[in-house]
Amino acid sequence: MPFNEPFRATCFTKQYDYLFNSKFPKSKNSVKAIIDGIIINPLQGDRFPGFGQNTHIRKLRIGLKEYHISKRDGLRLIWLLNEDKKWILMVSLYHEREYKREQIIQEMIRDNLRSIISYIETRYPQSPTSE
Amino acid sequence: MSTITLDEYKALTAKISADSDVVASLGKSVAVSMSFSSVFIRSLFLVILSHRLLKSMNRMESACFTCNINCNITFDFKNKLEEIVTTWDEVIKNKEQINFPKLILRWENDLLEQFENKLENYWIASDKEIKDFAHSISDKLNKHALQ
Repeated sequence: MPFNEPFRATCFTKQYDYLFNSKFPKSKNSVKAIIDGIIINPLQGDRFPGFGQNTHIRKLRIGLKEYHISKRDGLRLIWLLNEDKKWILMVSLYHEREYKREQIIQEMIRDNLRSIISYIETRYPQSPTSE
Repeated sequence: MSTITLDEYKALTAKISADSDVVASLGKSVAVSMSFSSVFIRSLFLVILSHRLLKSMNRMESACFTCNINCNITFDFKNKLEEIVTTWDEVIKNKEQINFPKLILRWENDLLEQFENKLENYWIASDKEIKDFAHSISDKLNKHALQ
């Protein structure tokens, strides 16, 4: 069974727009094709350890050939997925070299996850199993 | 045919592991000596290089032991060595000119890149809050399946 169309949170869309409307407009199509490819093969990239059996957090390094930027210095795409339920959630897309320290990246990912949680809670205020 | 004694070989490997610049100069001398005996030089060069790569990898891996995360990503020493052998054989077969110092730098950069990538992953995977948030999102989405 194929995976569903990835869910893109607002925080992810903002990062996407910032990168391709102002910073790397020439790479928009090639990166879009890579993101679309995640639906076909969501198990690509590195899997972060320690997130359980069916839940994955994965990371893909993306080079921008239009700007002669290697994978090492390029973008990072992070997504969350569940193999059983077949959902994919785009968490973050950022330019590694724009962040001076890894702690700032951690903070940014935390912020994105926080806003995704509040979005889900707003959209589904009454959880079926909540008391 | 060029020859080297065991003691000279040991002295050479010790010198190389002590000083990375020597590897670059070795590259140049290997390029010059190839006409004497490519097979012999190939073996010697590979032994020395693998020793050096292993040393770099050990250094990187011991840095990783401190993270206490059961990480599945490993430094692919075997693949790297196979790539080196293939590159070497291609060069000999095609009688190409090769810049060994540059090649060594490229191989070492590849290793460094693997290490950097592993570190990047560590920073995210070791963050407890990120882990908790991810689990929370996963639980919520599993219940609603993104409807």
